[in-house]
Amino acid sequence: MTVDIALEKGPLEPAGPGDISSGSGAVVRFEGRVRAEEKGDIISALDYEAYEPMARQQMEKIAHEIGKVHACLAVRVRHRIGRVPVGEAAILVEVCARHRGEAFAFVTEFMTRIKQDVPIWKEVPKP
Amino acid sequence: MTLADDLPRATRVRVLFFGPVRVRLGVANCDLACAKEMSTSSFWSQLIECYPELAALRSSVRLARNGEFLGDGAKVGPGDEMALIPPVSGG
Repeated sequence: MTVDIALEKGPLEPAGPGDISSGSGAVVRFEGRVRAEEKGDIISALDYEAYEPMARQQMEKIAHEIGKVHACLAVRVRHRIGRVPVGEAAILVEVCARHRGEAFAFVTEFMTRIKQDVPIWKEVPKP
Repeated sequence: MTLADDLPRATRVRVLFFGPVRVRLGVANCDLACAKEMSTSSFWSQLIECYPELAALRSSVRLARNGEFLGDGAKVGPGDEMALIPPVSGG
């Protein structure tokens, strides 16, 4: 399984068609977007902060751990840091697998783990 | 152990603050003088001496050393980079 993980400061772009393995029967793409409401308040953006080296390392480690259970062919993750306006993606997870079951399971498990063990924080910008 | 400026790496621990901890303390990092290895309990005690506000946050904060979450019984030593990891909220 190939794993490609990065933190980026600008809008997240999906992988190109050339990045999709020819053995993939399933490609699952998940975007986690900033909603206009945070804890009951209307917001226009969120600021994301990361302990960058550890965040990358943790995401790689988690991806490989999940890959042992839900075997996939390729995983590409982009997490945005800095200010992310409402409606834009804070995270993009793309998974190629032979079949849809492992691809969906991978994404679900990865998103659960990222919200537990990856040092990234969001904050509502001060007015 | 005390807050220290401009110490050689071999005689200090760099401590990084993130998210709500950084906001609460108003600083992103500090250097603590550290001449020999210590327990995480001792590290916490001495860090709280420098930043008493951390006492209220300690129970919700995990420690990472050099980019890895610390396991039970781990030590903190000169040259280490320690990060205080409050509950995360990425994704």
